Amino acid sequence: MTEVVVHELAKSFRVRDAGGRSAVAQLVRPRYAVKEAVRGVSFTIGRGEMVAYLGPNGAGKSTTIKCLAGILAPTSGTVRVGGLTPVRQRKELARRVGVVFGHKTSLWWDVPVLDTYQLLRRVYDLPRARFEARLELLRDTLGLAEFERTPARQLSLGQRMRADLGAALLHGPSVLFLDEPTVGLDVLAKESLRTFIRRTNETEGLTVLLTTHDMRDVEELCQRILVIDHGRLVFDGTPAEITRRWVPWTEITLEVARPVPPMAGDGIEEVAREPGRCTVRFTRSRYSLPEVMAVLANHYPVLDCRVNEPTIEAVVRRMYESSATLPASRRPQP
Amino acid sequence: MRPLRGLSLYGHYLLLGFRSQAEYRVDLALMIFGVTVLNAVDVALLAVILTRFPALGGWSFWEVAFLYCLYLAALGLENTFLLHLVDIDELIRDGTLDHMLLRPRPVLLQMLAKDISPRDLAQVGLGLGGAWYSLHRLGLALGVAHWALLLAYLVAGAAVLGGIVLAICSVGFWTVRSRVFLAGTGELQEVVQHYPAHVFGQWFVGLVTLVLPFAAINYYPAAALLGKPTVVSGPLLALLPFLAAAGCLTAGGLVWRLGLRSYLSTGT
Amino acid sequence: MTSAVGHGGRVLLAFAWQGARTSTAYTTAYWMELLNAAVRVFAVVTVWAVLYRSYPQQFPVTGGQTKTYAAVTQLTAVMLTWWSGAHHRIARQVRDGTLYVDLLRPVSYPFQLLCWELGESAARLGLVVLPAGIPLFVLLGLGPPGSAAGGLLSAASTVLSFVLLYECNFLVGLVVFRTLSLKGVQHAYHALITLLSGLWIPLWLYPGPLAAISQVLPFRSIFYTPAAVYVGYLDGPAAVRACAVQLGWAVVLWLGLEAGWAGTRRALSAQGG
Ligand SMILES: Nc1ncnc2c1ncn2[C@@H]1O[C@H](COP(=O)(O)OP(=O)(O)OP(=O)(O)O)[C@@H](O)[C@H]1O
Ligand SMILES: [Mg+2]
Repeated sequence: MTEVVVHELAKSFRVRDAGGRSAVAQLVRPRYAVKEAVRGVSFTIGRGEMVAYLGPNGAGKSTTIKCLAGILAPTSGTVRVGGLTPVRQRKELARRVGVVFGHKTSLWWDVPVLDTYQLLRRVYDLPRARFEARLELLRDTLGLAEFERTPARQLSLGQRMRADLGAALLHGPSVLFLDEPTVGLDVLAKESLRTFIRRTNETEGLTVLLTTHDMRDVEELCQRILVIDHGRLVFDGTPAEITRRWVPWTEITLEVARPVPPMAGDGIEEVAREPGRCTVRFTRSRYSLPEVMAVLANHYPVLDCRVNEPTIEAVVRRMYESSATLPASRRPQP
Repeated sequence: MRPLRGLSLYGHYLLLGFRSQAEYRVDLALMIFGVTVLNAVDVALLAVILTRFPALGGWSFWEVAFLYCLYLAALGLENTFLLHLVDIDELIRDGTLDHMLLRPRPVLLQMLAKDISPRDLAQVGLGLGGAWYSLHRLGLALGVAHWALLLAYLVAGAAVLGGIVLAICSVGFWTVRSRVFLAGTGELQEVVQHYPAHVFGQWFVGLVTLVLPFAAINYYPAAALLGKPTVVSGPLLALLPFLAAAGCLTAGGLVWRLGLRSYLSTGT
Repeated sequence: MTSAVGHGGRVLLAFAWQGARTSTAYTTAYWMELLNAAVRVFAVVTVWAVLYRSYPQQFPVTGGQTKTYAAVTQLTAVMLTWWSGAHHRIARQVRDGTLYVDLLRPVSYPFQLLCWELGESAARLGLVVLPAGIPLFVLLGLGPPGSAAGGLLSAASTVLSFVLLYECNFLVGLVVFRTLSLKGVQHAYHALITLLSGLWIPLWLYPGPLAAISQVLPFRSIFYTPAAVYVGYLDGPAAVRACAVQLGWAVVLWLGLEAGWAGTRRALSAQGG
């Protein structure tokens, strides 16, 4: 069952482009440039999937989310969410999806959170019994009780984000779009938010698409990663696949008894050295770990060793760094 | 059924807006004082003019005062309910509009329901009181039917203003800053509020009747109620404010729709 | 001393440039502002032309002078944007807590705001008032200054108007530190200016008591004095005297402003903002 279908989605903006001309020239004959924020992105998301949508700043993540949420109409291409066409079926869609923008709250700023929820109950026509049950659930899982009578403007960022999530889920949507939900939160707040999202996904079969710059979010929540860069999708696959593709090696740090000449072999090489310590890198497709250990023990006087599995953070950093050199046409098939 | 639910939702939105204000405890009394002083000064200026120039274009002092007060009351009524229209550009800039688009309700309803401004009811009171006193000084006693008509004109006038303001503010969807457009009509409104339109000539009457029908707010209603001659007469004169109201609301709604559609496709 | 002046000059220029950039940041908004200024002047001039035609005997000046007075006051008003001056900036900065940024700068806050306002007014003079005003003066057949000396004096007087208005705005802005909101206060203040500055009605048409009140307050110096000097209603010694009164008010209010600001600063540092 697919919940989200995006086909050849493109979105461009017209922006003022002074291009070094004087202010007066721009007044008399304003010049514009077309900014292609998203260019031909396709993917599908099945019901109950949790997908991370990654990419460097300005890659087009928020723009895609807005197109999915019905805030922006695509320039070309098609988008379907829960079988509905966003923008054209805005109101029906609104009842089926929840959206949280991490940098802008949807709560009424000056009134208690509960008052906002009470209003939302009417906005979404929720029967009172259903609303109460839902609220009870959210109270449990989000710990709302602690601050539900506090005006939103007095909440800490972590509390505010929890309240925002609650507001987005109050009407029981089947799809949740999260645009940087953990931005600015401390470790514990992030943890509790992730636990909540994971649990909701498990109990309600909620479909989640989230953008983030924190790779821990990805590791702990998502089975699948989409990476967008300069408006194009450059990767679609599992965390294991992204690692295999972008960091095909593993590093081992060795404590050595005495310095020996660096090793430079076929598929194994030393990449860093400090007094008493060497870091060696090997290609996983060539060697298994026991094989490598044997080879290394042969060359180095090993006292101790530590295997550094590549983190997603490191993988993504490598991706972003090399993004300038990525061929534009390289769009993987799902 | 549906409109009724819309109305109840509007009520709940307003309640929340009211509570927000209470949180800040904006000094309502000070605000009403300020608005009253501002209008008192306006009346004083008008009095200076009218003592120097006792009749303008065949309208006597108290007839002009009546004209002024009708406009004041309609403006107050419009401001009371449509205050937040001028915030369109603000809402676009700070992203609130995006959140409104995420709710399964008309955006215009959400926007208007943000808040009403009870202090502007003070202006309505001021205007109606002034109108009553002017009629008293003119020695005219209106019957119940005429007062009902006057109130209907008031609502029509507020609708004319509301439609025009909606149309102009919706330009904010394209230009990010829409207040300047509204400011541009300010002077025109001042003139229509203070002077019988025909003293500036036929071209001006045409402008404020056909292009931006501010004259339908006070000039035509006052002429109809006081029995002053204008370019139109008879039933057309009596009906003109209502026609203008219908026209302005239609135009305002149209520009709003176009603007929202443009926003959805450009996201300015 | 010279370096202080040089520094001040550079600050001023920087702010003026900033002002010009802000006024032209939005193309349509700029053209609209130009159009607004033209409509505004045209409307007010038309009103006075009609009033003059109906009752010429009520005026101590000619019809031409009446129209010119109206145009000059309105253009000055556009240049000074008196309805949203320093008091609004102060209110905004107090509200969103950005005031401390300005307080950290090595230039006194009142002077910074003055530069800022001056920058915007200068930009508006060049970008809006002159482009809209000159064609309008030609089109409506409005007059040059009553005399060359009158023109110069009127220009100097306009500068003083700017300073005077700035001082009044700043003093009103200080109220925000107590009330945290400009609402209400602002309306009452604007009402005073509207009534007593000669912006809408030349003060020579005011009945005795109202004219007497306006005599003892500084507001008439803001719009009435430069315009009345320009059209030559105030002439010779009378004009010089009016400008001297302006200067006097400017000095007195500056002292008031400094004192008020010093008090506010003390209160601020005591409460920690
Ligand atoms: N309304 C708009 N008008 C013009 N340009 C826009 C608009 N919205 C986004 N853009 C541009 O489109 C590009 C993509 O922006 P988008 O916000 O989608 O990036 P993002 O991937 O969410 O980045 P970030 O990680 O910084 O949030 C950027 O270059 C941005 O400047
Ligand atoms: Mg983003």
